[in-house]
Amino acid sequence: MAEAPATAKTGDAAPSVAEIVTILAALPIFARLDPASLAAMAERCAFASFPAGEMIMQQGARSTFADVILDGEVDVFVETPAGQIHVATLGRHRTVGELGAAAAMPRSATVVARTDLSVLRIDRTSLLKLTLEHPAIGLAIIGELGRRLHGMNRSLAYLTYAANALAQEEYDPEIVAELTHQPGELATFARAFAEMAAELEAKKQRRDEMQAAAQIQNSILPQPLARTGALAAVDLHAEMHPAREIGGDFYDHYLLDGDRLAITLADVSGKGIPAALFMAVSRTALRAGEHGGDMVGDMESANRVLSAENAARMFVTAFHGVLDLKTGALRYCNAGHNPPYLLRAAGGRETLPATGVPFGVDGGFKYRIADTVLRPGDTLFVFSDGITEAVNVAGEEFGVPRLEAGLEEARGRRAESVVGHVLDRTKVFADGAEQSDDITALALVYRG
Amino acid sequence: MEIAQERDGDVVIVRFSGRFDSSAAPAAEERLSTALADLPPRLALDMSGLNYISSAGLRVLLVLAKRVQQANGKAVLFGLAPNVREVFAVSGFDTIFSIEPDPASAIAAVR
Repeated sequence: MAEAPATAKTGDAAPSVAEIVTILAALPIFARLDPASLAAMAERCAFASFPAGEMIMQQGARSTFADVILDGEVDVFVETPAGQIHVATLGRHRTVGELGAAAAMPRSATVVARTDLSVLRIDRTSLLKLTLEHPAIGLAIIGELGRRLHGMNRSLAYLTYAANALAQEEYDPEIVAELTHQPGELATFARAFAEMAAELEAKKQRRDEMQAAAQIQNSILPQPLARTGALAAVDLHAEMHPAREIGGDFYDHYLLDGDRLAITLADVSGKGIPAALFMAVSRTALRAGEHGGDMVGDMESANRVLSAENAARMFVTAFHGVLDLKTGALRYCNAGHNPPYLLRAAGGRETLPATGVPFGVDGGFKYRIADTVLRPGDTLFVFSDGITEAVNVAGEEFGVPRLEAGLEEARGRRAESVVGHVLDRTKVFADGAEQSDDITALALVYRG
Repeated sequence: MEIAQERDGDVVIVRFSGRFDSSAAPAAEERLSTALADLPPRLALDMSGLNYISSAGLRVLLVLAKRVQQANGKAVLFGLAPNVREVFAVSGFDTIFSIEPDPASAIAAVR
């Protein structure tokens, strides 16, 4: 495609030859040029103007001229497979296209008038004639190109150094700061590099935060139960698998006194360090009660603690139960948590629905307590919604039906095997899709 | 999941359709922030287009309810399909939200 022809204009807008000489002499590229060469060049220059938006040069086209910008700005774009990339904006007294015109190469970029534009234009033929008559002009052009190359090499050296520093986690934004303020093509690249570096630093910081949260989360899980004495009446197994983004699940189990076992499984809303801290507070608030035997009072007290000062609007769904190891009586409170399952050895399956709202929602909420009785061989399965809401690559959820099918398949098994089977089913279903939420499961088989 | 918003006088009606699951949750949370512009906020949430809600969706609604409460406003849900209604019941969330049977009573309850 032919490049926009110069609309040579005479009249007020077009400068005189003397004015052109002054302009050319002021350009760094021609700073040391003798007056005769300057005058010869000035005579060969044409004045041209273009409206904003007009394409002046097209990447890949044959180069037939070079421009000096008198007034206005141009955008320089390079076409890549990924699309058009803006590499520079050039203004007054910058030269454009001299590389193509001097070296007879196709245009290396597309140049578009960003504003209304006026230029001094010298065509390639004139330029070649000029350099033959006045070798100093050729030398000036070579000198300028050399300076550019030197400047680019220096910039590239800085950017290479910066890239290595990033890789070794020793990056300092100061390294590229100077490059981003200089005019020209590499400034745009340096800015893009600086943004990328900032993004990588932020990611690293998030990663460190996640690791800290994971440590908090792990530190509050209990050791496996002993199996002696009164605890021989139960076979309990629990696991928590955190997602990459910490979701804030936890479970807890402890002997209240010789005959009673408390179990808790909770899910904190929110992610990261705030959720991990809220989880630690929740565990403490829930463990604090129980010694007086007033579960309602304990739950309401925990709820008050978790509702106060809760600017982050976090809340906790929780299942909390106390099992009488001698009789199998289970007293529980379900604060908005997805209902646990009770698989009856005699056949049949029940759920233990919510007896109140999640903790942290309404500080004055009045919780209800419910009771049931575990018979020998009955299995209690408590879990977090990371299981039912696990998705596969197609975006389907594991869901309640698959969980229930998995539980039926594991009927009569030991607690560890029940948990293992459900988690295996979940993993197979997810089939490599990333885990988006913590997965927690607790199985308790009552032996009686 | 699609979310549409319209106004009936001083009441903002938000209509949900599709599945309110964990992938829909982040966008929903952002969208619902804009529904809280009035002071005090009066929201009627039309759930009739929802065929599914997960705990992630419940959480977004819970955060919304808390913000409405803190701004001394009111939020009411209506048009819940039976399976969605069950999720609210089983999780205890039906005691947190006011649930009305139809649009008219929902808007009246919020005014």
